Amino acid sequence: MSEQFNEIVEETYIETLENLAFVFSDKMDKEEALEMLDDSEFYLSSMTFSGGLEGRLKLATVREVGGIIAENMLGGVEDGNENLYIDSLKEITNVICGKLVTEIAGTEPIIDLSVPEVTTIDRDNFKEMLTDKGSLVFNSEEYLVVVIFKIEKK
Amino acid sequence: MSLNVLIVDDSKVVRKIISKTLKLTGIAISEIHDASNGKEALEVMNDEWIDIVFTDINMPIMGGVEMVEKMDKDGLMQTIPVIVISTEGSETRIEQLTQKGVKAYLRKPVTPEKLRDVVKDILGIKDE
Repeated sequence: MSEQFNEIVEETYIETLENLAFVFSDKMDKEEALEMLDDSEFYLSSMTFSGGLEGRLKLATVREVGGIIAENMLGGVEDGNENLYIDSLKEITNVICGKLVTEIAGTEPIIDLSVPEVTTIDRDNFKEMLTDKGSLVFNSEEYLVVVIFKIEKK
Repeated sequence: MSLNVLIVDDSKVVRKIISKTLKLTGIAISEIHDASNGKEALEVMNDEWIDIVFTDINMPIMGGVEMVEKMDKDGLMQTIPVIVISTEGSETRIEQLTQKGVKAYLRKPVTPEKLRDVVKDILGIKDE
């Protein structure tokens, strides 16, 4: 993907996390990210879009990030409320996807967004995403987040 | 005037955020109902008096567009103002929704100020 495209994804991710969840992020070097990789539990949040633009957004991170986002968005949640953590990740994915498709396709075409889904993935799957050519990696509050935004059809 | 509000979104987090944001607007709220999809929302509107609906578009089972279309066919529900709160940015979609009777469209995230201004405008609430 082009440098400009990656910049759009990077800016949108960073801005959305800051504005919606008060989480500060920086893009990371993948080698550095691989050194940070441990045996945490990972979530993968993904959704598709179709219509004027077709493709998919995937966001993978550790479970703790869901907790931080939920906590910040709601001003406090009880510990271990997994459903809210998952829900928060879905919503962040949803907002990022909406912004990205509008940024790339413009405001004229109708683009249908799917409902985001969250699954758990293991370290190997996370590592595969991290090393994917099309992925961007971020350090969000000292946790790894991998973002893959792919356009399949315009 | 104290409002009965219905918030429709498949995300519990979003429903909580909109609820909190509404309470920060300073507008008098009597009761906040919520629903996780359009079908549930229609059931609430059948059972409860609702003054205004805030809805997302993309939801499982029944989305916001279909819900608005069904509301439009009901003599009583068609009078309830609907505000869409969504991540989508298509002006074509906004135009379509407006033609189906949606009163306003707000993009997430929504601030209390934006929400207050839109609600006051739609319901004709004047500053005292």
